[in-house]
Amino acid sequence: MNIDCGKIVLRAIEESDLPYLQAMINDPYIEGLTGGSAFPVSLDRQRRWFENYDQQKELRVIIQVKEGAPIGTIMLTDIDWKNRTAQLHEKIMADAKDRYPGDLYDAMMGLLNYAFNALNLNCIWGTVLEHNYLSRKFAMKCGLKEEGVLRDRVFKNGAYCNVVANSITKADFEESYAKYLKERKNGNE
Amino acid sequence: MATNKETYDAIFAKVFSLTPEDLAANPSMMTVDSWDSMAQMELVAQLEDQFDVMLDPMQIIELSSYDAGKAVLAANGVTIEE
Repeated sequence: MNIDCGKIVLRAIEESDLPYLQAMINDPYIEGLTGGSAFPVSLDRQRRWFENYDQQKELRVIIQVKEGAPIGTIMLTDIDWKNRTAQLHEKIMADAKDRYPGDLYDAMMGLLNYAFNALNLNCIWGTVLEHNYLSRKFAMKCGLKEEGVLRDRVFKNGAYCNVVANSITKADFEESYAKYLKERKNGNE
Repeated sequence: MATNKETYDAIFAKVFSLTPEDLAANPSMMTVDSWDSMAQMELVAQLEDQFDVMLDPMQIIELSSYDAGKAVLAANGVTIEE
């Protein structure tokens, strides 16, 4: 099922999304903000990834503005069904005209609500580059708590970078989600 | 004609709704609530348009505070005089 939250919908990746995903993975700005590193990816390679991707093993969805354009992807990977944990990732690539205030907040809270209350996961964790202040601030707004610094964990632009580990438990989420619903209901975007 | 600093301050004031007193405190991504990814896009667009520069991806990432923005512009040949 699609995940409906506020003004966005989280939907499955379709073949027609492949050029968008390819552009995102090849974008130097996005690469600079994420922990991974990638060789340039061709459309053919992107297509082969799509053909082999098991949509039941991990959750990778497109963030789509209702009646609008895709603005990014958000993912749960490394799902551990015994310990009820999963790793959170997100990437955004959109023109300003396709964005609206609070769109990522809708996407993140929609995914977390699905993770905790549909998949019955108990802890969602992630990592973010220490210098990516916008992502760190956004994660904290959504209720993720920073747990520590992993030193020199990623090599970027000629230097090793620290990575911050963060997480949110289902118990944390109840409070964050109530705050989110109140803010959005009051039009505070 | 506005000085570079007046133009620079006006951009920050407009994008983040900041006062001159706020600007004097070196506002940053971590201290300004309204500084999110959308505001960052607007800030970059305004700086590029007003100062006729093209920021590279790393410079956009480095653009994390009022003072950091001055350093980014200086690397592009634009001096924000004090």
